[in-house]
Amino acid sequence: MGIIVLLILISLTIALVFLGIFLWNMKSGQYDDTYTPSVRMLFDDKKSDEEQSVDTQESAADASES
Amino acid sequence: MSEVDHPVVQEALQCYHCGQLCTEETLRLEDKAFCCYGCKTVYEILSENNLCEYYTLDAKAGVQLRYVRAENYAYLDEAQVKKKILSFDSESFSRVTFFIPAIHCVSCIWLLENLKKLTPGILKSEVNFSRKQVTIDFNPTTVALSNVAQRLASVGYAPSVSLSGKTETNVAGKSMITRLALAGFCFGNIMLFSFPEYLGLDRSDESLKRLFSWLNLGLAMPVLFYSAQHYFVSAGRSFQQREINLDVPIAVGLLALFCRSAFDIITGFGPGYLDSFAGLVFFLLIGRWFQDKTYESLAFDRDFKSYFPLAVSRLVNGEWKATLVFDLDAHDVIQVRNMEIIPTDSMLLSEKAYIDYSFVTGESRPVRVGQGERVYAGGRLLGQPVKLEVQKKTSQSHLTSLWNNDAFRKPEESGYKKLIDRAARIFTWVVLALAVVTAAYWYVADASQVWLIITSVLMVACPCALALAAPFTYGSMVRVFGKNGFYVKNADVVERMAVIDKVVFDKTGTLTHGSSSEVQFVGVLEERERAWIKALTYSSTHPLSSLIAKSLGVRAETVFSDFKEIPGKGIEGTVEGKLIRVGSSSFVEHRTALAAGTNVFVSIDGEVRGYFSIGTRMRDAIPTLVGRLGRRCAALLSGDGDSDLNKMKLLFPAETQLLFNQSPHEKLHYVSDLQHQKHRVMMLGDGLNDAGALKQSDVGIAVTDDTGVFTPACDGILQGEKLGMLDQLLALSQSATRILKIGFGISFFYNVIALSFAVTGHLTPLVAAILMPISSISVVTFSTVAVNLVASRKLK
Repeated sequence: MGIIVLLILISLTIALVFLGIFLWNMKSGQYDDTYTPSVRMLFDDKKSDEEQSVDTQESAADASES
Repeated sequence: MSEVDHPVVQEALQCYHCGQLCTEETLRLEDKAFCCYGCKTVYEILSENNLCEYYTLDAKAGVQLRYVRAENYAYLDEAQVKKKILSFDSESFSRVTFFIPAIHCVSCIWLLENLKKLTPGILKSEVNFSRKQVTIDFNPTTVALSNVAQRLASVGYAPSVSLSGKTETNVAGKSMITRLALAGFCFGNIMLFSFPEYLGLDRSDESLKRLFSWLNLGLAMPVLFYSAQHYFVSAGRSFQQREINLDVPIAVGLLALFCRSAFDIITGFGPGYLDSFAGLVFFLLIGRWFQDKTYESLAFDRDFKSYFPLAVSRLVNGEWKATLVFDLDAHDVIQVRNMEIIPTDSMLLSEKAYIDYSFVTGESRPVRVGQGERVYAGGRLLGQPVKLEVQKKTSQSHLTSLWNNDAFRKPEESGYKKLIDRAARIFTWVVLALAVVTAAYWYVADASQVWLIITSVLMVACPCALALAAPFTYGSMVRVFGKNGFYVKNADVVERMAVIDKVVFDKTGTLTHGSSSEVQFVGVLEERERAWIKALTYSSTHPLSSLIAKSLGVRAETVFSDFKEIPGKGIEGTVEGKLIRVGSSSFVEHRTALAAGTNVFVSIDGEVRGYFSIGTRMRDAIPTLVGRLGRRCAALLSGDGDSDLNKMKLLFPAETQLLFNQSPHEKLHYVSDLQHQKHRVMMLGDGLNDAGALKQSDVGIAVTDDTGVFTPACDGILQGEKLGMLDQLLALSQSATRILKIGFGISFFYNVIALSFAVTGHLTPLVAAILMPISSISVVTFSTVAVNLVASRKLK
């Protein structure tokens, strides 16, 4: 009997923590834009200086394709 | 650039940058074709900076630059402007958020987030795609704000700057979701703690039962005081205004539920109905959230200010300085360049100017203004830069007087009783009557039960399903519209659309294409001669000349001599010994009477070769649309002269009124006259000249070819190419209202069942917990499915 009460209190506390995290996320603007990040993560971030030569080749190849 | 020897009509090449066909001219760089210098420049900038990946990410990446005018962003560096625009500013770090209408694809995001590679001084840029915004962090010591804006514009992403306030995130929407989340959380947990009760607990678990009940009561508190707050506030307000809306029975029902439950729990009488209570609030809020989702990147309430440039160059102590338009005073001297809007009523100091007043009057043909004459705010300058002397402050100009009309002052909902409010009134009275009758009956039968029965009746009478029917029916319809290129301001517009019986059209820009005119040559010209004429017309700044030059798809490289422009007549020049004249019929000595319209004649060596007929091009779908609308077409109101009268007479049925030379005020009055005859009027327009009529009408729809720019205050924005669907959209909105009424029926049906439990005193918490969600869910499912079914059938 007592253990049920304890478990319930624990589960409620955990649930409250998650609610708190959600509200905090909400406030910090994580749900403001749900589209852009999904695209952004797919961009290759390879445009460093040493790789530029590779890139120009690539874009030339792309250009000839099109 | 590679050479093309013969100016033969080339195969239409696709511009490498914007993907449009190169119709006017083709520029070449390496092996790529470009439709204009703008596109080519952007490509050059990008390839210099190794950013050509831009073109590989999305097929239609580039933004077409052909019709974009160059803007000067120098005013952004004024301290006053900066203060308004920057969201953060310090010595070495500033943050700005720009609204960029051109954002449309993955490539846009990629390029805008790589701005720092393009411009030193930019630290970071982040795009919000749904809002079409980019937030840029930059170092103001390395790069000025104006340079940032200039850079954006140079790659085709001209920011649209407004001083009406910083672009802020939607605070109301956020608090809405917080309320919803909290209600959902409490609802879930209360349900967990209520389950043991329904599944049956032994008597030995009495203390556990009580613990659950008290926990439920605790969890219900935030739902009552925070999540459901709106309903109580709104109900209170409706009492003050003596106008019962739907929130009244909801608030009463919620209160009854909570008080009864609290009473039951505190006295130990029973477990209460808190799961039903929290569930109700949760479902209601979902409905509101669904309804409140809007098109964030579209503006439906722009007034005249958004038509004006923010800044203009003013002469201060012999120097041109960027000044905010709203700081202009009488007798200031300002300079306005090609394609810029005249910010305020002024006097022309330069010799002459061509002003296009199409925004203000709808008349698309430019007006010639001489020195010392009056120029009105809202006109667009074509051609050479001119100097103007300001006569009135912007806020007092001729154009802004339209905004002082009553139509702009009255509140949004003009007299139209919403269906849901009418239903709510009937509903409330019926429930009240029922409660009184039941109370009377039980008072006689068993007085101790009266309080329980009354609360039960009020509880189940809570019109949750009723409240959900409207948001889900109209909300789904708004989404269907949005997918089809018609964006409405809110769900109420759908309802008002359903009762429209008169449609009023504007002509220029609405029925006809706004920007592109149709230029046709009547007569015979050799290819060589076309090139001459192109060269000749290219050198003139007259608007008709540039239209003709544009329409001739040949290369103009011929050199001519003796170029002369005779004001009000035409132009002439000599090529290969031949005198070519382009201009009015008297100028080329042509003496045939011709149909009304704008015609430009051509003569070569004194021989008339034909004429260019310049007319506006009708949108393709219009004739069939007019046929299908039939008697609903009330009128055509055009600011233009009546040169198109005959063309329009053929198009419209005889009972449609065709009115030309209409001022913005006349348009407004026409609409309000129709309304006085008890008609529900829909107005379709595009420019500032329609703004009054759009506002006055029951549903004002702005027709535009580019949703990012220039739509006056309106209830909805319709893409130009979708105008032909107007009758289907009207039919759909009528279906939506029918679906809503059926939804009401379903909801009443459940209410009757629940009430039969309540009046007989059999409403246990379990019955309530089953009935309430079922009624809500079935209404929501029905509305959503029905709307989408109807839409897919009608829009096949």
